[in-house]
Amino acid sequence: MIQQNLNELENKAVYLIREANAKLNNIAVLWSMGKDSTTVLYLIRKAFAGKVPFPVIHIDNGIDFPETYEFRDRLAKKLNLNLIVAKSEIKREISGFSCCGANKTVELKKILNDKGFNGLIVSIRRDEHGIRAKERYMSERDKDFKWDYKNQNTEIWNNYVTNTKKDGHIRVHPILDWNEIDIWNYIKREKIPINPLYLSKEGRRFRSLGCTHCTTSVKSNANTIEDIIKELKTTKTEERGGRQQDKEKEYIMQKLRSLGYM
Amino acid sequence: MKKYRIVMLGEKDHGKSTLLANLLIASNSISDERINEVRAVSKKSKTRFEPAYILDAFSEERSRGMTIDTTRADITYKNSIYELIDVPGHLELIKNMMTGASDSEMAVLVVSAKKGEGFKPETKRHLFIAMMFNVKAIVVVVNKLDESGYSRKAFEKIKDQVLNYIKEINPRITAIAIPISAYNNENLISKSENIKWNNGKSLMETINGLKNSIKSDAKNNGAYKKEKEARIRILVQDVMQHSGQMAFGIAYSGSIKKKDRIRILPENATAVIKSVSSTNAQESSGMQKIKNLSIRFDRKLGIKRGDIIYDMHSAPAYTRKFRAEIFAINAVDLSKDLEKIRIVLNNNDRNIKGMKVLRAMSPITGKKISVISKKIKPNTCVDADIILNSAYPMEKFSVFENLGRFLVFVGNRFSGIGKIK
Repeated sequence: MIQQNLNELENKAVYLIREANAKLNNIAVLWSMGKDSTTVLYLIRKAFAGKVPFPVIHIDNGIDFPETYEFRDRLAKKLNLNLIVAKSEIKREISGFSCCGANKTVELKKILNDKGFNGLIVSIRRDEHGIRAKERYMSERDKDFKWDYKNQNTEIWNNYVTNTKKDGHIRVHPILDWNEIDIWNYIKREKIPINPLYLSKEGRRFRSLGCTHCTTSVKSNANTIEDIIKELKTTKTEERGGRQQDKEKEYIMQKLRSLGYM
Repeated sequence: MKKYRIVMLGEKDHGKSTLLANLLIASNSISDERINEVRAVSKKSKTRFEPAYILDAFSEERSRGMTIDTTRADITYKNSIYELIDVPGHLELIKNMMTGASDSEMAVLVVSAKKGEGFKPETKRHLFIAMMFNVKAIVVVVNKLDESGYSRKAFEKIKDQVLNYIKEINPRITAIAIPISAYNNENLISKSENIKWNNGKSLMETINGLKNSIKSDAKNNGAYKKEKEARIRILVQDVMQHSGQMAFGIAYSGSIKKKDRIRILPENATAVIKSVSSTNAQESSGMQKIKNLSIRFDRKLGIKRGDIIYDMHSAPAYTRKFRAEIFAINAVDLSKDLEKIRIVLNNNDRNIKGMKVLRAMSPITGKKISVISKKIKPNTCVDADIILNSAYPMEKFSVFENLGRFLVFVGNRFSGIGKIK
């Protein structure tokens, strides 16, 4: 796995976060307590002299792991976060398309409407999925969260378009360029706390974390961050191999994303 | 590892996505799972294995056999990372192409040697835009040699056409042509038995060589470069109240420390730095060019987004009138559109009061075209005098490129790019 220069990645991420905050008047960041969105919280603190100056949203479907809830509460207190927990109801059969598509997205729409957020920082990375590689750093969604991927805005010379149609919002993607291993190298360098589920217990660990229903662990003995980095240097498998929703059928990710999934 | 950005240029169907995908596979830069997904989709739709699907991930891109939007993929070769940026070749998708090309240092231009394909007008437009964006070296890959009998003559013909065009537009750009077959993976990383007549390097060897030439070029400037680097140019991104006034900015040149005296435009004030911190915990060995700073001053200032902080010895231009080179992708009618035109300069929208076109040229012929002073034709490059509503700090593109370039919008429609002369 390719390891990039962390300072260059950090520079770009901080620049993007500052641009988003300056150009959009009411933004929030999505936090799943995973390694990526936790890293983004620390990048936001870097951008604003140690503070996260806007709300942090957790869309909680009630079926995350106990370790995840414990980690959330501990870190929210430590970083003095303005945390909004939005309980999402699970209405239909719980898996992939209907779970992430219907349940979580519906709840997110409600929050954006209630609070009037016009920008949302989301911790997706280009290397996770072919579709995510098509994303812009600042990507427009309409009021129904639709992604008009056939007509995306220009992003030229670090200038980003942030105006939207009525009631639309901008998805801000500060770590789009980062690879999985860059995240771990940065966590190590910056001493960022992580959810303990990433570390091996009885020969298994989570490489990518979702809720209890659609994430499975992978075989691994890596129980320190150094071990995880070592493991990733030689791995041949995909990070989201343990994620159900990516696999149901072809183009499912494209459909999910065009409907507003992260 | 140091990263280099390379935009892949060329006409639709000349094989850009196939080339990129096979480079990813041959350099072990992509997982088996991703390749298998493409194998399964190719099989289901009963087509031959289509490596281009690795990049063309949208269902529409696959069914129509074309790239719609730009994609980036990294490969490593000899201790460097190359970010390869695939862009659509189609004319209507030129703004997506420009999004991919704007931050590239090198370009790979793909031209098919297959009969009926060759060096097309659209390819010239792509090349022209890339050169306008400051691409410093170009590798011309003459593709589909397998479909043209590995003919040396076919290769030489395209090579001459393209290299002559590049020389005409910008003689300072380094350009090298090499023959390949992207689909058969010939001459991408290792050399090909079928192209024995070619004794040059493979594509990746060539790119690796050019990388060094870009570096040495940057060092050539000697004393001037040193003098320039001493100048402080910090663009203010945001100002917040955070236990007092704090400015967040991006340092494009120079460095500041506590107690330094600096100046600010447009406020035209002088202040002393009370504290400054860079976001980078560890300063690396001069690899990064730009730094994000958080700055406090000895007193409250009227500082705001878009301002420039600079040193006591040299100042940016502070003006409402300037001359620029503009590449327009859409028609602009100055008699009707003037009030709707805005330029995005130093991250801020600026309205225009007047604009006069002086010269125009077509990137396709490389020749001057007649100027009807109130109209800019689509896909042309013009020199123009611009008058803004009020004065702002700015630099010439040739001196500080980050502070001397702008985007042109007519209403909300992206219409072109410009460089301050």
